[in-house]
Amino acid sequence: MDVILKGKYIIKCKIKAVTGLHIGEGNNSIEIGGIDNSVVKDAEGKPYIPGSSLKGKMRALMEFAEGKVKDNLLIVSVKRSGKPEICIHMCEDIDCPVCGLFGRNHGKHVTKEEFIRNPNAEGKDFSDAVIPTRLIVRDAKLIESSITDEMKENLDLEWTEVKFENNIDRITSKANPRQSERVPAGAQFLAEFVVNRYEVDGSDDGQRYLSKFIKAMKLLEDDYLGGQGSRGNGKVKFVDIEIVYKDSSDYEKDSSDLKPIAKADSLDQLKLSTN
Amino acid sequence: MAHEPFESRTYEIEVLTPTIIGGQDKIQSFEFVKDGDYLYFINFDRLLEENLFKESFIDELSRGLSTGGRDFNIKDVLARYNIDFKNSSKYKLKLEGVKRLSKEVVPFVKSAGRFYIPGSSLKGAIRSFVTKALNRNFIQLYENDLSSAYQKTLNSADRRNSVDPKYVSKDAEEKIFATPYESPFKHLKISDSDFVSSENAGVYEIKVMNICGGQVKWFAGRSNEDDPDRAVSIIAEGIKPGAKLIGSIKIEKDFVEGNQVVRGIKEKIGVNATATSPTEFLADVLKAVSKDYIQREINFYTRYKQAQIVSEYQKLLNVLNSLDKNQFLIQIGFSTGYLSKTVGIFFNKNHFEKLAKVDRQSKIYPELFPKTRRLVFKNGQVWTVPGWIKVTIK
Repeated sequence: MDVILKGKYIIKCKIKAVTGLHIGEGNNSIEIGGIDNSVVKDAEGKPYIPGSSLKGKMRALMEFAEGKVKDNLLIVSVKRSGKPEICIHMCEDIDCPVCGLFGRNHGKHVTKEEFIRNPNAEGKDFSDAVIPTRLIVRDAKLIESSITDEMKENLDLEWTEVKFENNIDRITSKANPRQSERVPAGAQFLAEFVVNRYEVDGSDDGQRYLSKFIKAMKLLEDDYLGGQGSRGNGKVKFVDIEIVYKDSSDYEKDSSDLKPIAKADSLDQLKLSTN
Repeated sequence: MAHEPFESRTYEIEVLTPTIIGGQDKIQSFEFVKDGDYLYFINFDRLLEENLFKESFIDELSRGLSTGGRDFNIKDVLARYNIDFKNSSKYKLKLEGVKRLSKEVVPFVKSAGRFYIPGSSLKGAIRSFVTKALNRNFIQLYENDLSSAYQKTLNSADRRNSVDPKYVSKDAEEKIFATPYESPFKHLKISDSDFVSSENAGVYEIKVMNICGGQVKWFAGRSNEDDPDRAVSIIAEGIKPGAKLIGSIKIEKDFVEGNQVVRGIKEKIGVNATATSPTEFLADVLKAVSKDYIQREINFYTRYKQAQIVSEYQKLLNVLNSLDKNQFLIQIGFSTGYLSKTVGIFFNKNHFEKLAKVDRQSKIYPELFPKTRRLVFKNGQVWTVPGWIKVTIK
């Protein structure tokens, strides 16, 4: 397969936490007096949004939105005690918007349908369809000033708050409290995404995958990021969006005074120019 | 597979009666100052920062705080040092007909100091109410759990081996709504609300009504009093009636209908709900439950001649009867009582006899349980019941 890099769409924006944001760090630290359920932080101790969390959530949403969540279109990514524990979509369709944007792996893959029939099925190699992943998601760094002094005065920790929740027993009404750390609503993060534009066997992507990526951003706004999203956390909004296109020839020039191809305060105002 | 609509919708909460979602630690008396009709909540960071060089003030303050705040009046101390508490307060709240302040205030949950209603509270309340709408076979599972906890308690000589009252309904919950991975509640997503200003919040006085020998009394610590003025007051921050809060909500088809993995709530519901859209179906269910619950409470308060509360509930019933298809009433938060949060509404004397053995910490009178209610007072008079909100899904 012939793949030529035509250029890169660079999407810069801010991610605003509309409600508290909890991206867990996996609870591998045990501190005396520490929080049970802490959020992931960078080397400076500030919360951030890992690129992997963003990309994973967007992929999952796109799988649903593109109708890829079917047993014959999902592959078994993690199995446990003979059961398909985690399945994601991956396929050999060269035009698949999910695989095309988010990437596919080398190696053999067993579909969920095959696995259910035969847990020892050998699976299939999608290598013929593998091209470099188009979407790159950077870690999104906290914009410190978005947590104002007034907010800081009321926070339990330097950048984050502790939220208490209860389970209530439906027979005795006894409460069973738990706590978790989260970034307060209003916090903003600086995000950057890159969507590569390729020409594959003479066929130019154009803005196809950029449009698909914007679809994924919209899906995320109507869903949630991080944990405990079905009960409050993780509503996010993309703001101050700027999309720049860099043609591969632009990289040979001395300076890049490129004008954005689109600029908008929010996704609903974003319009891509067609050229 | 038909694509589900991905778009989330907006919910609007209109607070109908003072609503209190309890926050973390109680606010102690040295943390607030009463001035006229308002309570000012002190910002200690700012207070210390601005007065760091007044050594004797810092000494006096730390002495006062180290005694646990008893016999320490921060208002006097601040006045002595000519410090205006209004400049050192985080926020102020109006005292809504509070007659007697107590030593502590139940705080409202806040995010970085701002008032809001957590999605978890609204979702939890919806789950509670949906549970009350289950068909008889499922309610039976809770009764079975209670019986089995009762048997275990009887059989265990050592109290430590008995069932933890926090987890009595665990089996029933899992049989009905499955594990979190397979629960229909996965398909109900509710965000936190936006923030409301402190002008939309106030400080409320709550007293505990207790039925003793068929008569209304008021809880006053060791005794129960006829005169509510002598009763204990619980002081709490709450959101005022009339306040509106918005957030986003997604009620997916699978929540109601189910799918291969999840059995939807529709097949489990015992009340009459016929709507086909997920939003309207949920609203139907919640309306039916609220109506039954309110009616039972009206009967209770009528029996004990609490005309004011009966009229408050009658007003709620009128609101309920005039709701649109996308609206429902629900009770949430602090002081809303045993019946609002459990399936106890279906229990009788036999159940409460068992519950008394299982939950030894609570006072359970099988003949009449719950026999107490927490009511909001205004200017020394019974006013209303806390926590009723109207939810509109747009």
